[in-house]
Amino acid sequence: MSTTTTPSKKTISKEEWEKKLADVKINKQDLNKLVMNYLVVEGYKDAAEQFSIESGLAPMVDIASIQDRMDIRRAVQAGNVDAAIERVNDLNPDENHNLPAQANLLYLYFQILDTNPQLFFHLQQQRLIELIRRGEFAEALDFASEEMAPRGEENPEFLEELERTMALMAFEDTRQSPVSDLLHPAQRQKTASELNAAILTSQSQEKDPKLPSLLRMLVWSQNQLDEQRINYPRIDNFGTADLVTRDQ
Amino acid sequence: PTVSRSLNTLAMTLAKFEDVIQQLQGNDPVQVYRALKIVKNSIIGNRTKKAQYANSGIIQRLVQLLSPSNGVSEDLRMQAATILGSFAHGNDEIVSQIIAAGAIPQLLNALALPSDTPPAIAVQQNIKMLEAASRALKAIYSSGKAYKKDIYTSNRLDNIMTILKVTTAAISEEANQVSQTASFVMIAELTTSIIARCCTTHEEQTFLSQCGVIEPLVALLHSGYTKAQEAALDAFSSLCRENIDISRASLNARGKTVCYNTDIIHYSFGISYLLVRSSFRPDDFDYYVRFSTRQEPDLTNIYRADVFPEPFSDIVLVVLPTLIKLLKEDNTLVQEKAPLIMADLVKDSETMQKAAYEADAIPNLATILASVSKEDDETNEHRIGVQGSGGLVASKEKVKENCLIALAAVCLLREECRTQAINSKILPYAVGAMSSHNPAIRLAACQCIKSLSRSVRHLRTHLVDAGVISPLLKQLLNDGSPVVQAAACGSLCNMILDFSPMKKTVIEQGGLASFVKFTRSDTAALKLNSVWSLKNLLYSADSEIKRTVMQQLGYDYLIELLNDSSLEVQEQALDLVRNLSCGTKEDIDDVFNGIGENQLLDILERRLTNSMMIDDGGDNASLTLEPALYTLVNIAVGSSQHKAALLRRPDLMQSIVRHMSHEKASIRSSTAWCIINLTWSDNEDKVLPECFGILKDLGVEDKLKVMESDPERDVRDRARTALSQLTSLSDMQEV
Repeated sequence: MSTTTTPSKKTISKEEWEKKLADVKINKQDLNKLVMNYLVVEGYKDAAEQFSIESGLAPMVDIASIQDRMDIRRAVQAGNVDAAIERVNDLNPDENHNLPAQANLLYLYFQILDTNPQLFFHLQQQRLIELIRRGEFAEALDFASEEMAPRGEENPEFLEELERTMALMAFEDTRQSPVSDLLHPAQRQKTASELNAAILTSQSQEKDPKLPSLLRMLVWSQNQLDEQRINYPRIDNFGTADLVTRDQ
Repeated sequence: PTVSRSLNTLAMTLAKFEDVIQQLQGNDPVQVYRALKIVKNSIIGNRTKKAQYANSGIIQRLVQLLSPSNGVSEDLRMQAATILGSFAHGNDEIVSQIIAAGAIPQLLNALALPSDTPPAIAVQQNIKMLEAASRALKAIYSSGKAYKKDIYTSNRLDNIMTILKVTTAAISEEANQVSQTASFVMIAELTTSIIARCCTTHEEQTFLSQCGVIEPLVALLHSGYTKAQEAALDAFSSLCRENIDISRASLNARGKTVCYNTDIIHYSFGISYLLVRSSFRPDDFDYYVRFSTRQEPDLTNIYRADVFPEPFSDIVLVVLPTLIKLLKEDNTLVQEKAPLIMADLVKDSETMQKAAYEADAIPNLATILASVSKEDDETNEHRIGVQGSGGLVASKEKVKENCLIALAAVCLLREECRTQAINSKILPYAVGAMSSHNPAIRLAACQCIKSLSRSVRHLRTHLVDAGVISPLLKQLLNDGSPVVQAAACGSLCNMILDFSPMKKTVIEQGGLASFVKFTRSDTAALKLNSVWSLKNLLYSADSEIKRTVMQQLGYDYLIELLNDSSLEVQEQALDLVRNLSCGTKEDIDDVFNGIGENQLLDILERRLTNSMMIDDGGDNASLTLEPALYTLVNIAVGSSQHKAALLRRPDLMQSIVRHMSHEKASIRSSTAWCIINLTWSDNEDKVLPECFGILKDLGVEDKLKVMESDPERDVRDRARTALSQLTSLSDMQEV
């Protein structure tokens, strides 16, 4: 809350603004990299491929691995955790997969799960959730004792989450349970994102694309200027990025 | 189909254990392969299954399969290597099993490239095996349980270097085959990590450097692949540790600049060092700063020679704020490492400590300390599950320990730092930490308290109010760990300096008994600190306290300490005598009687004359000289008998006079004080008649006249006083 009175607002004209913008030198290649980074991390494989051809920029990862990563993510999001895991574990040269990429992901996967107990726990947890969701209670109990109990012993910090998951089985109508949030699509989304992020990290990719952060910085900057009661050409629509001057 | 699929999966993992093991031991490659897949699927990420399988003796079989002489297919060998790699992420026992089964030589052999093929192609052809083997080796070496020497035998290191060079070169070019690039990056990273783990001695560092390891590592540093960069930084850390030559060589190796994921800031003032900063990977900071810390001895030496002041301010301007920014991250690993690095950087430099203070290091450290300390207060009622001793708890403890160490370092020399630390309310946590079950934390807490205790003002109020004395006395002086005890002793040492009530409390609560006990300790630090503590206890102490202390210590043992093999102990013991003799004439009598007049003066005389013979140019010469002289100063304050005892020793007096031209100002002052005290008379004790004659014969008057123009003001003033007293003595003589 400003207590100083500013009798006159500072104004920056559109010409001034555009001149300042023009003075900033941005490398075209850097812009391309930003876009490519976004496409790769978010998994838009075809777009990345096309963009690579148009811009002459090679993506930092093998395009086919993007496909694999997206397939895996989609599988988890659809509740098919087993399929996701099996697909990667099956080093089966008879299948119609691009072998080199498959081989890469396989080794990545081993590295990821062996060095990331939290991810492993969450994948197992998701498997349990799916079994419960499908009403396969017998299998769920077996799975819980075979796979989940040891996780709790190995890492006491997971116990709380584990017990919440087990609590799902306590209610006939799972939707009434106080832990029903575990059944929401959001839970799958969380697990899928965690897996995606882990794969990206182990490929020396960043798990968050830079573009959204830049956008957030733009919004923040404009808010700062607004708070200072400065009149300047503003971007209101981020789709068109038109500079709009407000009249006094 | 999904239902039956998941049932199948369950069935696979629940498959009869014995069947799988049996299949594995068999000779049918198809069966063995199937069994391997089952094992692989079971153990991945699963520590419990790893342990189960390991107990069945499977590891031996895997090493067997790995060996090329068994006629096993390449595919099978690779599976075996992969599975061993997964096992290597298990607990220490499993890793030990792996090592005992002879896995390391086999895995190292698996890195061998056929000699008839160009290396670049050979790597490509064997890429899967190389990945599997190097991953396994990295995990094994990371456990810290393996002997590194295997790597340095035969031409194994050659293989590793070849692989490193080939993969690094391939990454650095704009490779068209992007799918291969990912593998190359991985292998480069893994090989680098292996090197990082296998490089601890100076010889190993030098050997690796001669094999040309620096260039590919620098290339990796610039590669833009964060995992590889981290590994390279780790390797540099190991290579450069306490090795100035390699540090310099690494700094001078220049590479290409800026890549996509990271910003590389390149400074050069004749010495360049690399800073790798990534806005999204805070862990990178850690390694980078470790890297430049390895260089810091290098840079500090140069700074002290006043040759390049600039790089030093680089550290101040860039590294410190960076570190402090990191402290704000909610990342346990960073919170663990950053404080330790900060401590390392600032501990030897008052300027750095000031800079840390100005960059707000202390409040940030205080916040972290508070956040990892609050669990101690939580009751266990609402806890689910068993108290962990796993990774998470250990991390938090490390964070606490390192924060305390950092605070200890920053508050070492400057009062404003200590004030801010106390205002940031770290005391309750530091005091609480002294009761930690973890000795490393207790030690760190003591060091922190010790730094804070160097401040007299706070001592009186805050430290005492925070209840620091009791834990220090009771728990820590009787701690299981001698290192902790020494630190506790050091803390108490500062606190008993001035204030009588404090001294009495310490004595009453058994502190004195502990100090005396530890003067006989085998641990050098503890022994020294306890003698030091006794000395401080006696500083400005009344006669009663002096007698109490000496009753417990015993004059006989004091004499032993005065002749101790360690010069530092001698120094403290002499200072102790100095403090004893500072006070009333009865105090001096006690000392004379306790040690024996002649024995005492013999010792003092020896210290004065010895120091003239030990001219090692260092401070050792004056280490015992100063306390000896000041003891004489105190004795000279005493009765005429005391003064006479000194005056009647010609060698002693001659030494005193010789030291009047000593290079150290405090020594010169002390000699002037001696003269002042010897020539002083009060109503009770007249100056000895022979005093003037003795001093005149020694040429004291002339020396004092020289001292009147001493560069040090204190010396000039004393000399003037001494001269005027000497003059009035001479006047009296003439009368």
